[in-house]
Amino acid sequence: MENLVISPADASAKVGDTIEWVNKDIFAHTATARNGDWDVTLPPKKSAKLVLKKAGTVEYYCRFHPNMKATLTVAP
Amino acid sequence: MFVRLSAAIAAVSLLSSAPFAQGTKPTDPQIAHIAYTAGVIDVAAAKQALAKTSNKEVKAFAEDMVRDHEAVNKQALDLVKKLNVTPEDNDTSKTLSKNAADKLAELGKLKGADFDKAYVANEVAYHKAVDSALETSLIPSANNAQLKSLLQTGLKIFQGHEQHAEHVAAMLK
Repeated sequence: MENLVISPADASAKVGDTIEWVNKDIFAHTATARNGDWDVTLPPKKSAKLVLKKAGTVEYYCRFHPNMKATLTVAP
Repeated sequence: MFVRLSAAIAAVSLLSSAPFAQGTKPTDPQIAHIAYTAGVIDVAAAKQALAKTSNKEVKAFAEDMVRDHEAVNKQALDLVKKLNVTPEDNDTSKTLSKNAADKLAELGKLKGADFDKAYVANEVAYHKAVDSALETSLIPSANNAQLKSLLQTGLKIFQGHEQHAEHVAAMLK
């Protein structure tokens, strides 16, 4: 996450994979799944990891800066 | 009739002094001071809101204001220290501060939904004004590249704030 953009905007993974978000901004961000599955807080200049447990396509966004959006497709 | 008319004009211009006057180009130390002041103002307004509101959306918005503006201001302080620049007080900063103090007092008298609506409406207007000033005056006038870059980051974040405020305002109707 950099300059208020999540990139790549679309990413793929498999169930059991760990996704790591890196926040390069001076602002705190979140990675919040719209379906409520997960909500990860990313303090400024920090990273956070999440183990993907469910298959499916998840749209997620930053709760603090809702223009930041991305999609994660998790294969079984 | 003329006496009454000019009194009315005087009253209107006293009510809301336009802080971002067109005219002389601000210098980098002045720009830094203006940007920092604008941030401090929004943090103070947000803290008043956090103390007064019981609305979840308003609370979340105000928390965003505190978080983001403090982050930009911290970055601004680090930058001026690094560049050995002393932020310079100026008429724009003074007018911003005066208007903000008046607004804080005005909002301080309100409660409940009245406060929420007035706070958020002011946040929309305030962010519109600051964003416009950044775009048309502060960013183009900035000489130092790092200052310019920080202002541009600020603008992006504050445009998001404006949208968020408009969204909350619509919900409060």
